[in-house]
Amino acid sequence: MEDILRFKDVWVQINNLTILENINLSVQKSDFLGIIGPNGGGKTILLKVALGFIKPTRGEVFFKGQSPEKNRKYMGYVPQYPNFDRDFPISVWEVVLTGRLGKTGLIKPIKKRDKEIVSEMLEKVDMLNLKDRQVGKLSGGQFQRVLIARALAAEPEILLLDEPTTGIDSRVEKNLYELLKKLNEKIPIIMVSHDIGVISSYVNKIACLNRLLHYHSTKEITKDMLEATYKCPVELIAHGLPHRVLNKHTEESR
Amino acid sequence: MLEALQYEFIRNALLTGLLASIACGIVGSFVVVKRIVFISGGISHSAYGGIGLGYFLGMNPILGAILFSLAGALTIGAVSKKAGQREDSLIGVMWAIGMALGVVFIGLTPGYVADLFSYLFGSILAVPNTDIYIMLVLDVIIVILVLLLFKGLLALCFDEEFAALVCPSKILYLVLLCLIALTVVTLIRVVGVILVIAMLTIPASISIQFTSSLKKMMLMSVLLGIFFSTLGLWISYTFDIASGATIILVSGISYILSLCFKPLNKFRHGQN
Repeated sequence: MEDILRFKDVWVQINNLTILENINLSVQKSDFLGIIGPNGGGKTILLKVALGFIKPTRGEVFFKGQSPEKNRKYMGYVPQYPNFDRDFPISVWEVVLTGRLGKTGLIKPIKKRDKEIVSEMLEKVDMLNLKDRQVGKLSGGQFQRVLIARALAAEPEILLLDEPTTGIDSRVEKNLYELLKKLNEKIPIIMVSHDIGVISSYVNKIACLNRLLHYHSTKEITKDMLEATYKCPVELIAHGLPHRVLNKHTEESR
Repeated sequence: MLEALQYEFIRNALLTGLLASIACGIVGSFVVVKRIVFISGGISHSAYGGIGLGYFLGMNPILGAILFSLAGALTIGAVSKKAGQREDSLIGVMWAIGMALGVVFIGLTPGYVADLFSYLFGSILAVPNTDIYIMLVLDVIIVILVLLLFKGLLALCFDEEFAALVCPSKILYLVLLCLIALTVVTLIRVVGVILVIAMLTIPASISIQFTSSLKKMMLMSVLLGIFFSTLGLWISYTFDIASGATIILVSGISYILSLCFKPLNKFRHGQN
């Protein structure tokens, strides 16, 4: 199958610090790839390299066979729960409409089709009833869903999400993952998370990132994988479904 | 005030206030929501170099101001986005160089420069007709550009990173800085280089507390700007005090008062 997104021997160095080392990764159409790893392991940087915001120091990235900057408007991006200005005078509807900009063009007026798509995406994330609300008056989970609707409004061919469940309660989180799973029937998804547990029950491929990428084409997380990534003893506890990770250091220090 | 309307300089002053308020209400709203007040300060002070150059070359200082503020905007825009630059230091340096160049050029100009202070602190009561025409043209350019690019500018101000995915955000950012540069020029006649920042940000800072859409915020800012400049003009005319400073004091006191009303406004929203 053709790769939608491909990292070829990618290195990223910032201020002489190696953030990503020799990353090789290919993402195909049916993938729902979960990337886990410790904070500071380069997860966000990896997404930004995929989006073309950060150029690799060495190696190449291809999206639809070209450099990501050229085809950026075909990418959907949901940033890590951002510190937006709560006072910003913008409504839910207007935020999602900015997602259409790549398709409509900068100067051309908004068409009926744009409005239909914005409605459809808001419906999908169950936010249509709050479309006129100012974003500052939303809860964390509602805001996160608006950002997903914005990314989807661009009719992307791939969806990149950075810690989409930060600040969201577990019920909303479950709905969110169900939504992503449904979206994955049409487009590939890459999701970055430090939440090892829940991620493994929804994704179909998983990779561990801590400067180096340990890529596995299954969704099984093994003890060895985690220890290689987190560089410390990690315990897997299976409660039937999600895995939990306990850090041995803290156990011993008690 | 009504009998004062028979004087051309008063009519010009009111018209100047109106034209400046349109520009600063619209562009000032972008400045406030994008939090680039300090950048706008750098741009406005670099305009002073152009005023000096205008005197030195014997041309209209306002044209020099347009040239310098645009150059300042493009320099800040081009350099600030480069990784590893200390943006705030750069702006501070531009700020100082602009003022210093202005002083040097004016010093080199033979003879006594009478209305040097008018560009520093404004001279709304002595605006020549040519400057009103220039302001009118600048207003038309600003309004047309904002109408055309509104969607993109809104996306850029709300989330610059996402905007980069869907539109040429780097160019849009430069356009926004140039809009600020042109707005600064329209304000120089009203309140002067030093007080430009206040006039640019105060109406928008009041409006943002009471509005939930950028368009409404702009409209309210324009109306507030007109109100402040007219009221300030009337007070300065009646009590014979400096007009630019009076306009700023009226605006500043209103801003402080608006902060007192803000909790009330938020409380009302909470109940809905």
